[in-house]
This record gives sequence, C-alpha cells and structure tokens, in this order.
Amino acid sequence: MLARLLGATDAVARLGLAALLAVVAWTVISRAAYGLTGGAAELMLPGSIELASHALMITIMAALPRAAVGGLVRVEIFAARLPARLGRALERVWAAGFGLFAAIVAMLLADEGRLQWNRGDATQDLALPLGAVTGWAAVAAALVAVAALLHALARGRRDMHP
Amino acid sequence: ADASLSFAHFMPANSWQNTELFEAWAAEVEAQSGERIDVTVFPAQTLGKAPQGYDNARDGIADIAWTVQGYTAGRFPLSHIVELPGLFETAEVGSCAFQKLYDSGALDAEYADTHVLFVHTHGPGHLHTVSKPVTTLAELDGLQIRHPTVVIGGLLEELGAVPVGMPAPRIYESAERGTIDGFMLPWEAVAGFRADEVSDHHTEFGFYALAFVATMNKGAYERLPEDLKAVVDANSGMKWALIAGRGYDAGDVTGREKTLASGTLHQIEGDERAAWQAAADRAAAAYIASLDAQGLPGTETHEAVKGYVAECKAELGG
Amino acid sequence: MSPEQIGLAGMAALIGLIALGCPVGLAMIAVGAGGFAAVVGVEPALRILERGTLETVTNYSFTVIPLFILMGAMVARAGLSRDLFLAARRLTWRMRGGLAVAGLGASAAFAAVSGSSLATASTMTRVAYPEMRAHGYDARLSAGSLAAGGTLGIMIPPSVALLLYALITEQSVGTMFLAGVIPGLLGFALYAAAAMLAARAWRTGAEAGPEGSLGLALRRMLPVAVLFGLVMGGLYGGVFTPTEAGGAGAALALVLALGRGLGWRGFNEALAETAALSASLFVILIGAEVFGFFLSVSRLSFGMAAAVEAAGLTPLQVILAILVFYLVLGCFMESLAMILLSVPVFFPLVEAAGLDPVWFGILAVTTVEVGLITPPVGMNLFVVNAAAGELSLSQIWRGILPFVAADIVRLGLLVAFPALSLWLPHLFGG
Ligand code: NA
Ligand code: NA
Repeated sequence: MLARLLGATDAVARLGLAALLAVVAWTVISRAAYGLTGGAAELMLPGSIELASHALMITIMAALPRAAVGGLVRVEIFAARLPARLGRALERVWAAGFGLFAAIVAMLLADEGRLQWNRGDATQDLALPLGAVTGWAAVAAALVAVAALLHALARGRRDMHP
Repeated sequence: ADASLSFAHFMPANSWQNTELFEAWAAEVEAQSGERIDVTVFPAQTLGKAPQGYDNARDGIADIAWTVQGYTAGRFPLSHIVELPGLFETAEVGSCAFQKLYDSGALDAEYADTHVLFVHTHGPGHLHTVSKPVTTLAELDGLQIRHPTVVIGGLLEELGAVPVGMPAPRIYESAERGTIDGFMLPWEAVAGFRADEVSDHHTEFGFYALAFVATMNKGAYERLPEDLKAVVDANSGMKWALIAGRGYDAGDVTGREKTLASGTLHQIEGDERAAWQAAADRAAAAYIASLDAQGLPGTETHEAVKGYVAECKAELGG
Repeated sequence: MSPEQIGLAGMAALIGLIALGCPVGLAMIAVGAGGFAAVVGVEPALRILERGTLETVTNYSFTVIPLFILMGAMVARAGLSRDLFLAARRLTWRMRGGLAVAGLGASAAFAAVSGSSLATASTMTRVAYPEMRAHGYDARLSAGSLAAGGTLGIMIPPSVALLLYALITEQSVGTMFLAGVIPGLLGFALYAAAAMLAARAWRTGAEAGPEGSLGLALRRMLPVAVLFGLVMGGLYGGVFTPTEAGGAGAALALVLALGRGLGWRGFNEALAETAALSASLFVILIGAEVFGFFLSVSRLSFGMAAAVEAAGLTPLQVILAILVFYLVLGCFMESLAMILLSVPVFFPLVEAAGLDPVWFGILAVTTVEVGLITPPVGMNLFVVNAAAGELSLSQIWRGILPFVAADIVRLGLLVAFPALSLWLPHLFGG
C-alpha cells in the first residue's frame, strides 16, 4: 500500500518538476523571441511567476511522502551507537512525529482552504481560486501524513530504510 | 508589564516606517500606559511574511500586524475602492478618507476577524519605466508593468499594458534583468526600494494609492484590562492614520527629488491626458460595476469615499 | 521562564534531538513549534506549522533550488566528466602527480556546471579513479584527491550551498556566486599543490603519456564552457534572474544529455532524484522558517548579540568562534543541513558585529565544505569509498589529510584577506 502511494506521488512530483522547467524555459525563450523580433512575437505566458510557484508547490508536496519514508537529512553518528532496539523505537518516533506534523498541516490547510473558498479569494495574476490551491496542498499534506504513519507502523527494520 | 504585545511588519529595520510609525506607536502606547503595556516591534518579516500579515494577526502569531490588504485578490473588495484612480492627491487626504470610511462601519464585514487599529494609504502611485519613455497610450501598449494589487492590474489592462503582479521587494531585480519593462510605485517607494537605479523614465499621473491596515488580534485586545484597552483605543483611528499619511507624503517629496536627480520626468499632456483619464475612469467604473454585480455596495461606497475626501480636504486645509 | 530562557532550552532540545538521530528538519519544526507554543500559545504555534509550510513550498525565489539541482543531475548524465578528465590529462601530463592534478582540474570544471559536491565527487571518481589506479597511482592519493576535488562544487558557482545562503540571508544570488569564484579557484590551486607534494612524498607511479591533440582537449571542454557561459553570463549580463539562469541551465544540460544518449529512463531518474533531494532540503527550509518564528519571539539572537557585545569580543573573534564551531560541527553533519540550521542563528550576530554578510557567507560555506572531507563524517569520503570500491575508510582518511591541510591554509587566507571574496563582486558593482 505504501509502495503504491509512493509510486503515485513520485509520478506527480516528476510531472511538477518537468512543468516547472517548462514554464521557466518558456519564459526565457519567449522573452528572447520578443526582444529579437522587436516586440512582434508575443509568446509570453501570462502569470508565469505564479505558474512557477504552483509547479514548485506540486513538486515539493508530492515528493515529501518519499522523503518522509527515510529520505530526511539526519546525523547518524551518535544514533548509530544506540542499542538496536532503542534505535528502532526512535525511528518509529521520528516517523510518527513527521506524520503528526503533516497531519496538523493538512487539517489547518483544509480549514484555511475552506475559508478562502467561501470568501472567493483569488490569486493575483491568474485569478485562480485560492481555496482550490490551498485545498490541493491540504490533500498532499494528508498523503505525507499517511506515508509517514504507515512507515512508523511498518514491521521490520528493513522496511525503515528503503 | 501587565501586557506585552508583538507588532510585526515587513519594512526594513532602518526604514522611516519602522522608526517614525511603528516604534513611535509602540513608545506612545508604552508611555500612556505608564509602561504597563510593553510593545516589541518585529521589522523585516521577522515575525511572518508580508502576504500573511493579516492572518498572522488573526491567528495570534503576532498580536499586531501592519500589512497590505491587496496581497490576495477578493478578500477586501470594498477597501480596494480607495485605491481607484482620481480620488485624492496626497496620502494624508487618502488616509483621512480611508479612516473615515472605516469608522463609518462600511468595511466592518471585511475586518470582522481582527481588531483594526488604523487604516491608511500611500500617496499617488506613478509609472516608472526602465528604458522606454511613456507619454502616450501607444507607447505603453504591450509593456510588461508590475502592479501591487488586482485593482491596479485592471487599470493597467485598461491602459493597454500587460500587468505583472509581484511584491515591491522583487521590483529591483526584475527591472534590472528585463523581466518587466516598468512598474507602478509612489515616489516614496521608488527611493525606498532603490528602484530609481533601475528606471530612467518617470511618468507622473497619479494612477492609484495602495491601502494599508494595522490590525490587532481580537483575543489580545479583549484580554487587556479596560484602562489598557482605553490606551490602545486612544492610539487607534484617525490620529495614526494621519501620521502614516503624512509620513508617506514627506517620503514622496524626498523620493521624487532623489529619483529625478538621475531620471527624466514625463507628464501626460493635452488630448493624451484625456485619453488616459478616460481609461482610468473606465477601470474604476469596471471595478465598481463588478462589486455591484456581486451584490456589494460598490457605487454607494465609492460615492461615500468621494464625500470623505472632500471633508478631509476641508478639515486638513488641502 | 523568560522568553530567552525558553530560547536556550529550545537550543539544547534541538541539539539533543539531532544527536538522537531525529531528522534535522523535523527537529527544527518540533522545537520551533514547541518553543513558540511556550512563549506565545499553542494555537498560534500550530498555525505557524501551516503557514511556514505553505509559504516555503510556494516561495517563487525557492524555485531556483530544484532547477539548479536538476541542472546538476542532467550534467551528471551527460557524460561530461569523462571528456573533462581526458582534456585535463592532456594539459597536465608533464607534472608530477599530474593525473591527480588532472582529476582536480576536471572536478573544478565539472563543479563549474554542477551545483553539488556529492555529484562532482561521485561522477569524477567513477571516471578518474580507475585511470589513476591503472597508472600505478597510490590508492590514498587517488581517493583523497577525488574526495577533495568534489568539494570544489560547493564554492565554484553555481553552488546550491551559496544559493541557500543567499536565499536565507536575503543576499543577491549573483553576488554570492561571484564571491565564490576566487575562493573556489584558490581551493583548486592549493589542492593541486597538495597533490604534487603528496605525489612526491608517497612516490607515486609514472605519469601517463599525452593522449590526443591540444585542440581535441579544448573541444572536449567546449560543452561545459558553453553551459557555464550561458548560466553565469546570463546571470551577470543582466539577462536572467537566478530562477531563469537555473531553468536555462537545466534545459541546456537536458539538450546536451539527450544529444549524448540520455533516454526516457535517464530523464525520469534525473527528475526523481532532483525531486527527492529538493524535498529533503525543503523539509529543513520549512524547519528553518518555523524555527525562525521561535528565534524571533524568544529574542535569543538579540540576547546573543548583547552577550557578545558585553563580552567585548572583536568582530574577528566572533567570526573565529563561529568558524571553529562550524569545523567541529562539520565533522558530524551534512553540509547543506548545517547551513540551513546554523545561519539563521548566527546571522544576526554577524550583522550586529558589523561583518560583511557576503564575506561571512564565503567563510561559512568554505568551513562547511571542509566538513565534507573531515573524518569521521565526511560525505565525500563515503561517496568516494562507495564509488572506488577497494579502499577502507581509514586509508581514505590518510589520503585526505594533505587536502584538509590545504583547506586550513585556504581558510586562513580567506579570513586574513577579505578581498579574495569581495573584490570580484565589487568589481561588478554588486
Ligand atoms: Na558548482
Ligand atoms: Na566531516
């Protein structure tokens, strides 16, 4: 189950990153074309800065479940000397802690997203409904929480270092 | 101290806003409370990023926040009316009128979740272009121009420019790299963000004025004993709206001088002026109509602001 | 407890959690939120988790991070490392220890288009280590020079470490990159000197004969030169913002890699690797954001600045104390995490002492870079160990010593002569 979840979120993260690259590269190319043609070629994307920010958010939020499952930066040197059982227990504690963090973020984002949706808040350039953007972030955070909690409950130590 | 309050804003620690507005407010409140209130000012986004200022005050992350309402579109629709072109010429009058509008209760629904201390505006915002002089609508056509809020974005579209939304601190780099052809700012902010270094041409028209608010967490206000509430109340409303407005006007004078030392001033004359005015009027009318269409009292509030502007001009002798 | 006391307790908790193996970002998130709850209140503390997360993952300035990492990932797959090594070999074949110097030179050139130390070390080791061994090179010298060469990636721009420093201290990315050029080249020169001395001391084997013409060597360096020219030229020529430089660089690196047989699978791998590394950095960035709220309300930075002032420390003493701290910490901790963790704490001190933030950034990043090759925890040592596959870690530790000595000399020079870091940015009006 964890593997399928990670497979799906990884695919979204790769798409988000490719989209980020495409938006930024297109911005550079279209500006060059505009300059070279003396303003005749107007190929610029509207709201490209906003698009890039959204692509960043999709990339990172979708890559976080994988990070939550053993991809986080840590200092191993002291921890490696702890008794094995204590080490395993701590490993679960960190995973559960990250899951708790992600769950809190998911709930508060969902709450905020609902408020923004009801008020009709919109983004600056593209006038996208802000509630939908925040809502997507809430769903992604919930998936992070699920991945981290599944990891915390995983049975053997082998599962813990994929 | 009986109560300690945090005051968050996004201007740098060495800006006049930090010393003459926020630290001054803190000192006044502390003194009038007999040092029973202690206010700590957190400048330069050290207690929350600029676009989140309002929500940070709502949620108690900061007890008080000063911010720009327009960072999200559609949240303070009636407040944005004071940003529309052609209403007033100075930040003092704009701030006075905006504060009167707030005091009338017309905006209460927009600020229901915080305790507003004061509202104000900056002075008239002008058009600054990197390398192309702009005195006609034809010259503005197709240029990428930075704007602070959606209302001003609509105005730019009406004028034929391509609006690009971004917060003021990013203007310098974007103009330098050519990602924008120009930007809308009042003279005060051109100097404040060193944007005079990246723009050669300055078209003075008075397009808009940005709305600001200093607001307090409701719980933090309610928790104060009555006599301390009275101290905060005495430092809310018109008094500080006018101090802020005058600060921005003074900044406009020095900012204009500094900017024009290395740039060219352009005015819009004759028939062109009428065309620009017509475009600005269309943008304002379109915004008001969109409010009316949403069932908000757009026309009514716009008229009310005009009335307050006239009152303020009379009272302030402008 | 006063806010300052809560701040100190929070610091202790942070160090304890990290020592217990808690992920660095999670430790900062937990202590930041817990401390904020203690000073301000529980509900606002939960809200800063939400706000810190959303603000960080939607921050347009941060789009530059995955783009530069992606550029490095594409470059690593474009087969440029082998061409660089062959070209450098042609240029150094007369020198004693020439192959080691060639490895260092190729690493420096590779570093100029890769944002990352680890990518530089692992790619160059795979290419150069077998060649050096085949020519009878001492294993210690081979491994040591390649581990050290990898660290050049952190200073010679573009550099993810300098990028992160610029983003969290609000310095100009372009200025920080420019400031890294001379210290990076100085690092290469000192490493080359160390390699030649070590080659003499360890009586390493005969040098390889020249291979191919000088013209071929130069042609082999062309793609890297074009890529470096596009990114840095665009950045300083006033054409690109940092994000656009990263995007243009990643796009050109992709084209290069496609031209050299990068398939769909390699492209996907590069994307996945970039997303994973970015996400792990963003967790620390979120931690830094959350922890920053706590640092502000605890007023700990003010307190530390006041304590430094009261103790009458000179700015130089402040900077030396911080650098010693970094050297010690660098023995145990990963470089980017260390920058993200410590800079928010130290930066107010540095500003209060009136030190140049750009200079401090270069010193901090250099010191962190030394940490990559100091035992027991030196990431580059592990990477080379894995990529070379025949050495014990203790042999690699011996081999790295000349290069650690070279780094100490470099750090001394950078402290003594701030112009080494600041002259180039000033020249370009930064
Ligand atoms: Na580099
Ligand atoms: Na180390």
